[in-house]
Amino acid sequence: MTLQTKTAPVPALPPDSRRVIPGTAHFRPGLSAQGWATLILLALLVLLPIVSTMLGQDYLITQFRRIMIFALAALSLNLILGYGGMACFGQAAFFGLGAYAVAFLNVGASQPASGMVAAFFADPVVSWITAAIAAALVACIIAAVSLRTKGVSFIMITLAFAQMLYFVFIGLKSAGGDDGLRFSAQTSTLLGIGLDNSTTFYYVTLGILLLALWLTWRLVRARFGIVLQGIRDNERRMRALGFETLHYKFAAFVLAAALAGLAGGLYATHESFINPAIMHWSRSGELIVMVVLGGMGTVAGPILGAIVYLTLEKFLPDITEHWAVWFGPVLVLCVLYARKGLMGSLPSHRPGAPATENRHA
Amino acid sequence: MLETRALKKAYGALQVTDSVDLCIEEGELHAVIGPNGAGKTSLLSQLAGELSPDSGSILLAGQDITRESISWRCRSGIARTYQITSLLKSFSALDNVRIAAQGVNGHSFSFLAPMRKEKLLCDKAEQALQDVGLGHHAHTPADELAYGEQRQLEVAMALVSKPKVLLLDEPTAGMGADDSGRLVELIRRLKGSLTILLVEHDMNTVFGLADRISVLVQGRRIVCGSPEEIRGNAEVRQHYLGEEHGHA
Repeated sequence: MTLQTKTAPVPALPPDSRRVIPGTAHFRPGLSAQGWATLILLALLVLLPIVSTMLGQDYLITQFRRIMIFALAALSLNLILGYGGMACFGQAAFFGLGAYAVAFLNVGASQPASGMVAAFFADPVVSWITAAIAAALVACIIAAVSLRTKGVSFIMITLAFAQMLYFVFIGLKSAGGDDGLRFSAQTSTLLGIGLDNSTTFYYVTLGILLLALWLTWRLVRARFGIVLQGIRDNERRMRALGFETLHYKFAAFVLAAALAGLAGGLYATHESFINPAIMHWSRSGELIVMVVLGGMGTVAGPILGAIVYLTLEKFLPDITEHWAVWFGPVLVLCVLYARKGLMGSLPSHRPGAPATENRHA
Repeated sequence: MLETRALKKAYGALQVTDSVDLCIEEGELHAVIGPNGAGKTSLLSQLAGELSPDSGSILLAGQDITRESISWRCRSGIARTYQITSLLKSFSALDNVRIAAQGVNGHSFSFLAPMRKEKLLCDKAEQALQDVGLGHHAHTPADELAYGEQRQLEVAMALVSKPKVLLLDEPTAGMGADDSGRLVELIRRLKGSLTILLVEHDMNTVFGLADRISVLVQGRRIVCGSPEEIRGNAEVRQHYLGEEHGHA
């Protein structure tokens, strides 16, 4: 072999049969299997209210609204767990913070003496944004401490913080303590959309989910997302390449918390009731299961994971009382044999091209 | 260009760097040789910023950088390759080089614009891959490259940042004759255009490439000079070259 000169052309295709990861060099139009699966999934979500109304199964709309809210939370966790390699075991805490923020704002606005400001902040859209900001602010503190650790310590520290918040809300008498808060969520938004209509609220939730999905999709291909994936692969090397990795991890952690807080806010409006149980560590665990089941580090995997997990959780108890005994081993098998999850098991490259997507993006 | 003053580093009782004074001139190819465990990689890691010295100082173009982080040093023009290959395994070769180019090209808090469509990064990365002879493997995942190719990729990642100082940690170790010959040729071509510190075991490579050679033994720099001076130095022969010939 001789040294190639600077003018040597890049061959269009590698000369040997080794697997190829795509860049933008060989762009071909078309969709990968993962792309098709995502599109079909989203189409089903769009059609669901229409179909369920036709079948007279209106309860499905509420059911799936709840599922989509958890899908949004799973999406947020995937950002740091799937793309950033940060196994956060406290995502439910941010979800809970967002939910409590919306609950407090609604309770505040329903006081007899409350004025215009309280009413403004209880507007669903404003309260959801507040929920996201509240979660992000708390995440700044948690991230500042926990991101100094790695691996199991990181899991334990995020878990510890989440449990701390859980017990704070149990002890908080003004928030109803253990029993939680029931309130009447304000349903008319600034934008003139009434959320009291179940189907309207469904589509608003779907819209937010789609926005978050689009954001994730762009993010993991942008500089920031690529850095995040580099950190997941080899953080030491990323530092040696000039990246202040802590800054990027911090930003990702806070962004994910904001998204989880938004999901929590939606949940509070959806349920008109919250209690500390939504912040319990087992909730964080469930979110991890959704992400792993759907496919860590795939853009739409967590949505599929949330749908499958919550549907099974809903219907398995009808078959057998001891459904958890069966469900546990299925999850173990999934982790052992379908490591990439449901979505990740589908090919990510487009037909005809050697590959056009990065295999983890 | 790159200087150390009374640099010291110890692990417990083991002094891996013992009062090392090193002065690498701009544009020079400076080789560091020494028996196994002489503290060559430790020295290089301190220069790169991965390891902080116990005492002493490191200067880049006259500026004290002893306390600066590794990422800061990379952005300021010090690039290194690793003795034990350290790549982003699930990234393609091209993506590895592209992200190396990104690391020294402004900040990366860009959330929406696709990175792989940034022409500047792509051009630089493709050029660097060509330079090391990996152009045809641009889209192969790093962990599926042959060992020698991974070492070439390491060099491409260091070069793409257009460093002022290049720290090469045994770049040809474990490579076949073809690959290592090609890499040596590349280093020879780079010579003069940037400052290079080369840690290398292969004596033919060292004596064929280096302007000056420093010899490390048990963390101490026992001598520094031109290849001829080193070859003729009795202490070096006793400590090192003789030993090496004995093994060979």
